[in-house]
Amino acid sequence: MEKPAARSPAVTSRLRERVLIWLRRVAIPGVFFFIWYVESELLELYPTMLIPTPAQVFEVISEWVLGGRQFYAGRFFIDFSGSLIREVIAFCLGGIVAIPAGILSAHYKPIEQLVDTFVQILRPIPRTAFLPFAMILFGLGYPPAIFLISYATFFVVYINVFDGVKSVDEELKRAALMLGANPRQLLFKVILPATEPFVFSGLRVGVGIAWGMVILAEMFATGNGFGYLLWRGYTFLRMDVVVSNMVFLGLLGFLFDRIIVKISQRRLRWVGELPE
Amino acid sequence: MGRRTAGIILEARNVSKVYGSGENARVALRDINLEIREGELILLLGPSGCGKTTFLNMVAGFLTTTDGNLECRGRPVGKPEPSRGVIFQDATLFPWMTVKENLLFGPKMRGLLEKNGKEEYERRARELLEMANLTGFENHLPRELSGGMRSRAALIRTLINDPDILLADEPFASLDAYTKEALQDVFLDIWEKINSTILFITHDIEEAVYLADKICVMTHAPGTIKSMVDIELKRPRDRYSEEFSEYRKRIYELVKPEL
Repeated sequence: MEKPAARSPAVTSRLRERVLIWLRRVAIPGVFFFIWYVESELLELYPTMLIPTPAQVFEVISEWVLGGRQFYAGRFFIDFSGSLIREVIAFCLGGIVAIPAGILSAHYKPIEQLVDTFVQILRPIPRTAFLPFAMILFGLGYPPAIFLISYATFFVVYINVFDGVKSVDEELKRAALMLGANPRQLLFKVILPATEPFVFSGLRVGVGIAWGMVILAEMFATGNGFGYLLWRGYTFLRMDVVVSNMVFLGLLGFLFDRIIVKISQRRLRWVGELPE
Repeated sequence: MGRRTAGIILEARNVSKVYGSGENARVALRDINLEIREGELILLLGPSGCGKTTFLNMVAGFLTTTDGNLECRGRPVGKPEPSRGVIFQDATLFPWMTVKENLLFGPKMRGLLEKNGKEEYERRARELLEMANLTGFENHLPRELSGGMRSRAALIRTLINDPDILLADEPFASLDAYTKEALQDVFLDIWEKINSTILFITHDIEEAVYLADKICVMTHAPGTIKSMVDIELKRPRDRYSEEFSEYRKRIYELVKPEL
């Protein structure tokens, strides 16, 4: 039998490069986790009631999922589905309204005059400031949350789409008209696809902001969800419960962002290099 | 010059363009008179800011004239349309469409694919791609092509519409010298094959002398036509011949006071 050929230098150096890339990526999170571990398990500068240990957090999560005697026991699915439903429904609602609104208002002057002033008046009011009104108008549960989240999503997406339509290259529009496109075709076959990168960057920022609004709304206006439990954890001074919720918020936020990025990478191959 | 007929394709009579109004009014073009006959390749030459692009944009229908008459095939020039094809300075291909989708954009928008049959246009597309040396790149996106290839694709995208006149706005200005020379030959080749009428704008004297039947030299601020020079050199032209240099010098002497 022949001996297997030794790895070529090129392959080894590529392998080393990849290992280095991953080491750099996990370095700071690793140090952070290490400090957390040392502080909570060994030093205890703060009592573990305030800065819980990783083991405590893991225990809370397992009881949250599997059940037990604590106030959060066995309700993971309710919290998870509550937050997820609010995020998905409200984000889609806000986006579905914002995309045509942004396109029409940027493309047709009368619609811009009609809509844009109103948008510009509302815009400087921080979206979080609408929470009390959302609760007064819509009560408790899903309605105020859906309102607040879709309102926030709408603004981010609308503004991105609006800027996108405004920044479509004038020459591109001229080219389309010169080649025989009518005004309708100009809008649907040229302006719309040319705006798509802006739609996706709006959706990407929007999905993160929507997730933030889910938590805010749940803290005050709902009886379940990650935001609800996070706030309950704080009021009972159960920081291990707070951290457990933060872990899932991070995971889901990351997942939503990835979904948008993956779809946009597929749709926007023509743009070239896209941000990771 | 037997291939020319007497038919006038484009006629400009005392065409002027004023930007702004009142005290801020700025005369960009004054009393432009120009006739372009079928099959002619006319170069409009002048320094940047002389209004040559403004003139082309008015012919294309992107801008309106302030004064004077502008007629294409005897009809007043109106909105942009496929009969007055434009090649822009940047190729201006639709970046989300493949080369072939770009090429068929015009006929598709005009509903001609259904009317005349898709096969007809598939065949024409193949011919034009072949002519522009783009066979094999049908399914590439614009960003995957070189600058020269994009220019060629933009050229045939306009030609598939069978324009009465082709308006070229410094189409090779952003390309490197070698690509530019190669494209000028492709351009002449296609012009001769399909016998088209062309108004070509440039600030490059060598390009003008190499391409033109006739060069219109423009003045600067306001833009007027200063003089017309017929280039009576046989094609293919030799950039390094004495006659070529003489023309270059003559044109330069005309442009120099405008700089």
